[in-house]
Amino acid sequence: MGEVEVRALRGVDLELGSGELVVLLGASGSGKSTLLNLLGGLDVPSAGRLVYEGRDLTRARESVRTAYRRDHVGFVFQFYNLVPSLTARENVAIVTDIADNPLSPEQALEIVGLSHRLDHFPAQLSGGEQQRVAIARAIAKRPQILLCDEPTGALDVATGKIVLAAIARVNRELGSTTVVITHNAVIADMADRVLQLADGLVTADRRNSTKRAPEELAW
Amino acid sequence: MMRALDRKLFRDLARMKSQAIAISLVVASGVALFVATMTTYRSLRASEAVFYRQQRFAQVWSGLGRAPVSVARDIAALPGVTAVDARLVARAILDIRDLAEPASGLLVSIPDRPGHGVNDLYIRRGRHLEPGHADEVMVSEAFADKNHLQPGDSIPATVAGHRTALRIVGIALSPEFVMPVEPGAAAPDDRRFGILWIARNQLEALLDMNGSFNETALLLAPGTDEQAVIAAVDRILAPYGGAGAYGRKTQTSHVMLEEHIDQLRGLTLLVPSIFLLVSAFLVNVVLARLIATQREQIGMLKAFGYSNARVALHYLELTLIIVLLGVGFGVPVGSWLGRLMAVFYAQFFRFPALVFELEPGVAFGGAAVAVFAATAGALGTLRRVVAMPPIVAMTPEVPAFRRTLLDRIGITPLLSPAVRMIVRNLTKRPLRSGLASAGMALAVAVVVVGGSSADGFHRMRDVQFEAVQREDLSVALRHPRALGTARDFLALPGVRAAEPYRIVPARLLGRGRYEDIALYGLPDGGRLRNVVDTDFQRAPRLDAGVVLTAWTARHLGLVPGDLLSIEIRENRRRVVSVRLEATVEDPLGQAAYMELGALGRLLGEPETYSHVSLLVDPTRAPALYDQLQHAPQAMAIGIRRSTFDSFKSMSETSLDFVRTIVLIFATIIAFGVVYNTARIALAERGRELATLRVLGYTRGEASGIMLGEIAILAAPAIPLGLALGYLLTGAVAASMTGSRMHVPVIVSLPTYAFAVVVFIVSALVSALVVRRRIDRLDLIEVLKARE
Repeated sequence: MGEVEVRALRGVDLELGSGELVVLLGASGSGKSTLLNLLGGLDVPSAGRLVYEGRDLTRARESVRTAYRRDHVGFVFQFYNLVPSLTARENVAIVTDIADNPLSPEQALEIVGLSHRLDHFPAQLSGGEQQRVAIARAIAKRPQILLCDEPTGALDVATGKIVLAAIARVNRELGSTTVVITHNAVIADMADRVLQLADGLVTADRRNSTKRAPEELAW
Repeated sequence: MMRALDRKLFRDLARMKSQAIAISLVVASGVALFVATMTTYRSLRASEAVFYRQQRFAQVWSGLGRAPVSVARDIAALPGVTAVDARLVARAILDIRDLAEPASGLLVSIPDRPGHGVNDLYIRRGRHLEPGHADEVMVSEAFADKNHLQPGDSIPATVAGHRTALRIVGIALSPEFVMPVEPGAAAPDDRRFGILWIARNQLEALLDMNGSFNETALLLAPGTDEQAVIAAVDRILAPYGGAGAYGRKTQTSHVMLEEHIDQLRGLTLLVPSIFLLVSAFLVNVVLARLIATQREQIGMLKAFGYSNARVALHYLELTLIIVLLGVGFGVPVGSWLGRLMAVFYAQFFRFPALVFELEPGVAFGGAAVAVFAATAGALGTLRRVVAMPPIVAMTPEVPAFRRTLLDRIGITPLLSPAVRMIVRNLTKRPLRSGLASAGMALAVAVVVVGGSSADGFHRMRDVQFEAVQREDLSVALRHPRALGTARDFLALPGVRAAEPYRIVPARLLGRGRYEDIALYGLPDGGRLRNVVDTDFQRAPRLDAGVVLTAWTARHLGLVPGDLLSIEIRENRRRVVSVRLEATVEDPLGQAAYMELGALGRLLGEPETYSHVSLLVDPTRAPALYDQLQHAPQAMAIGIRRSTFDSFKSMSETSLDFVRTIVLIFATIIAFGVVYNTARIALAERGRELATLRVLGYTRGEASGIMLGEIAILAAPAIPLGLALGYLLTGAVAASMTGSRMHVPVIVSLPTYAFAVVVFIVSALVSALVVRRRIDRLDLIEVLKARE
């Protein structure tokens, strides 16, 4: 069987404004993860251009992209990806140790409402708590960009809302441009801007006139 | 049609191929070393046996003063004696061209026709002596080769004060002189000492001993009681100055040959066992890891109705394939290596024919041990597979970390999160971390053992030739002389110091055992012959009692303070009693030492000396050699430097060979252990590392965490491995030490340093391979998968 080139994204032309909370909707295989990987500096496009604050990242070397992620991007993963051998505080410290002017791990955990769980290991925390530690870890460096890949994908509704509330609060208080990937259309209601992806194309790009608080969402 | 489970087996194998290969290589090394050393050992034993049988190697010997040949008939009549050689032997000083110093020869009379009933010669070149041809000799091959002697050459010689010229007609081998050691010398010196076989009537004339013999060698019928024959021969020869009959177990050449071959047996068992132990450990950790990642698959298989036994068998098959790959590679390599080693040693010993075959038993034995070791390594993991209920197996194993001792005592705040990760990971599975360090320590230890085999020999050599013997030259006299005459040697050209000493052949009688030894009388305050142990410590000042080689004392069950019975085996044979003062771990030979005057009183004779040690001005040595060669009282000349060089080249040739082989394999172990440890750590920590990379950690920072973990496991392996290497060196030395050689347990600083370097280099290479994998971690995959 030969290699077949699959175009995950085709002609996506997109500009994200500073401080926007963007929800990226799309079914499996729509290309939303590929877009997130490009935005996060994990991958480079085979064609087209990728520019961050006037700097061209299209052909950036791995070390340049690493520095970009380190200094500007915060990640939240679907499965949290916490280091099991480190406590909540330490999982955050692992990022603050290598950042310029970060929040303290305690401040970051306070923002997500986990001040009382600082010295617990991941195995001692619930799923929602683990995801909130992951958010604290992502925001502790005061990132310009916060990328969240299905942050509620592994959580129940109530916990999911708490996590989304934490993301909204970070967006509001730190002014990070925030991109939330989800296939859950309800979540779009908390966004400034909603992008719909299908088959590698942006099929819709709308702005919410009124944002709803995550607590008001229901699914 | 291949079943689905078998397909999974091969796919799993393919996925873990580099780890599987690393384990297979360790197994192959163990099996190859086992097969190689075992076949070499057995082939040398067989070759030795064939050589001895075909040449009718004698079983009992006795020296004597002089007896008429008719006495030999009494010996031949003894029950069980099938052949008797009543021969003449004499020492000769030889003048070899190209050799500045005089050489020594042992002249041995033989029948003038081939096909001797005892100790037959194997002719390599030229021909046998022929009746009626005067002054013909055959020469031992090693001596001929070292001195480029050919049939047709002539050697000027001094025999019993007579000058004569001996014409070489043949070059030969004898089972009696596989390792020819000059009487009184510490080691073979093929350049300076050779055997010359001469017609009986020729030697009779030179020694003026017509119709007499001064040495006898016997062949016995199978099942004959050797001790009874020895006792009977002693009785018969007592009136003729019999020096005491002895069997093969004290025949110098035979004892040395046995010790050389026995060294191999020590290696046969010890070194391959280490490899198989390591392979068991590797199988254990790699399989445990595989099963941890396949919990869900195991649960699925069980849920679908595969029996516990079938699932366990599946993983056992995986183990066996890896092991059998190693065996399949190790047996032929071992056989090839065994042939290489056997040929090397057969040439070294100059066996006329090499018996070599790869016995199926050896190959199967190696395979069986390897399979057994690996299965033992897999057993614990297989038990876990069986015990996993389907439901539990299908839920992922969550690594549950808790606060550790380090957290409680408050050290952790001082550490960076990266270091905390390392520490908590290592302390979470202390047993496995410990085993990983232990496996690496074994690798270090094997390199130490490989290197230290030479250290012991070097120390033995240095003690013997730098501390025990400090003379330039030692002269053996034809007959003991009055002590006062020793001063005469100072008048010879270039002699700066002369110290007399006495050697008396003696038999030490223990409880139901005996040992033939050399009883030394050394002058009080002498400097040229010393009693020194293998730590260069001098024995306490010699007095009326004796100081005895420690090995001999242990063998005979003697301790200081005991009263020894010593049978003096010179001229008038008698038993004397003397107190054992102390024992000494001296390097070579078996000896008892006394003060020279005390020895005279013990023998009940005025003080005499049989040897003299000389310090010589090297510029005047040729003139001295010339005088000594013509001195009627000198029987043989020993040159310390020459024996030292010969010992050095002999031991280094064989040690370097063995050491090279062990080192190659030790490197494989070191690499196998470190690489597998690193790969498993990477498999377990890959997701964490990829996450850190996504969060902005550089490749260097991410690798640092991983490699730091390996470094922490490797660090204790170094001191542990060095200590273990020392212990194993002791075990190897114990297996090599025999009656003649007392190999001290010595590991030199360069050997330790070399082991550390080999280990660190292997570790670094493994680390680099793993580092490349960390660099290529798939960062995108980690965002999606939940392990």
